[in-house]
Amino acid sequence: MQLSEVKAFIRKDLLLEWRQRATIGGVLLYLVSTVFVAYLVFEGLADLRTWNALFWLILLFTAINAIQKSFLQENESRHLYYYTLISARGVINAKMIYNALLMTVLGLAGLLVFVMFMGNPIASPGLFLINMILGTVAFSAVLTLISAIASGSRNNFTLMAILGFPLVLPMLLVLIRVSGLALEGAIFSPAIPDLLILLSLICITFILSNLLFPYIWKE
Amino acid sequence: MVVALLLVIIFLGITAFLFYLEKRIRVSETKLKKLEEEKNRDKES
Amino acid sequence: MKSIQHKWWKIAGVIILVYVIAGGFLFDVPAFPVIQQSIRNVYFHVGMWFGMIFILLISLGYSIRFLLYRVPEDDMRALSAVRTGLLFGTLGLLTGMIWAKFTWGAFWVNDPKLNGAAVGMLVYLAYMVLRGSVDEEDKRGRLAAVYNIFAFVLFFVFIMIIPRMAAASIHPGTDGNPALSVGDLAPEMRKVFFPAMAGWFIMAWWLYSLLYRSTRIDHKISELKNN
Repeated sequence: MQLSEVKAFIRKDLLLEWRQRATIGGVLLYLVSTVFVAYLVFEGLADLRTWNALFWLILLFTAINAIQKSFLQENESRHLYYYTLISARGVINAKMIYNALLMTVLGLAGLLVFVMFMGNPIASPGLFLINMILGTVAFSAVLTLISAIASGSRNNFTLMAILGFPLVLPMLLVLIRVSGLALEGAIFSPAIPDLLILLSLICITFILSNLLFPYIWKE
Repeated sequence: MVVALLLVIIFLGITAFLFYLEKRIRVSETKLKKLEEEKNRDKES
Repeated sequence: MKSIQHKWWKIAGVIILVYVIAGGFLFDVPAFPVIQQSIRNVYFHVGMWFGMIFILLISLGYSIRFLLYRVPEDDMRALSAVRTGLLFGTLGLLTGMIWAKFTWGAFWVNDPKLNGAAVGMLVYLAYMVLRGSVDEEDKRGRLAAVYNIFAFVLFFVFIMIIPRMAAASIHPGTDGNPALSVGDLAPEMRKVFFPAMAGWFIMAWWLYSLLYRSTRIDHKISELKNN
């Protein structure tokens, strides 16, 4: 694996995303419409707990929708072509980094829309943003490998959710707790152990993906 | 006392069933082995 | 004679468990507030969970071996171990729920440990669904093995770290191991507790080996039919 091939692969994914603007537009539209549904149901700002849970649920579903296509966008023969060009680790790392970038952008956009509709109760924005970015990175790290697994099966759309949920759930609980702290205006120190847990989960996922993906990639 | 006796009896019933299953499995394993050997012999001859 | 040689550890396991059931219900136990006589459930509930973890570790081992050497038998072993683990997990949940009803007043309470256990069961059910939706044998084995390893590691990190950070669990064993530590156990309970663990491990191993052998027979029959 070389850094240059990872970079080239990320660029290729970005280009592909730009050419197929409809897909990313679809995910954005999904995000906006779920937020709008939440707005209609709760009629503006709900209490803090609900705000928090809703925000993370919407982000989670967006992540699943956005990352699902990582290995489905292109067909088998294209994958075979990449297989001859670049190493398996290069592919998974490029996909993970790309998904993390995509999810951070989507997360920020989601936050913007959510605040517009549901009000802005965030008391300490710094902690909230750091937590959110860690969360989106963690989601994309776990879900990238899951989408690679699911893409090899018959009903990959359902399977993505079934396989992903139990693994994302632990992270989701930590994220919700930290962002709850941020909503109440906490300073950093009580949230540090949780942030460390998130970081270590990201690291573990990253290492595992690097170890395991080569076995899926070989056909 | 009665509960313990009942549970022991149920448990023994389950294990008896497991032993029976194991016997069935062993029988079919030997059968399969024979079948495979025959097949190999057919191929050779 | 030969069959007895093969059977001795199973018979030993059965005898141990008969002793555990009888002793577990009849021997004296120390009296604790709230828990009282339901402390006897330790022999069953904890035994089921330990049996499950033991058999899932075996499954993890065979999944790793399958990825390294690609022998179909290893995949079958991993699958049989997961099935046994699911059975033991379900039994562990059921015994736990009965216990919870008597001590905490409800079959399910919102507790990090309990929720973690539920998530773990979901992971392995998802593993079974994944196996059901891939047709090619080798590919199925690889995908399932990768998911098994990935899920096992993440799940155990979760089980180990998060309940301890939360520090609000009412389930015993917050200091690390997910059950009573040996030091807590009254001496008169140890003479049933340790045999109980051994007995459930033997049962888990026995069930797993039966499942594995029957899966292999199925596999061989379909192989013979195809050529």
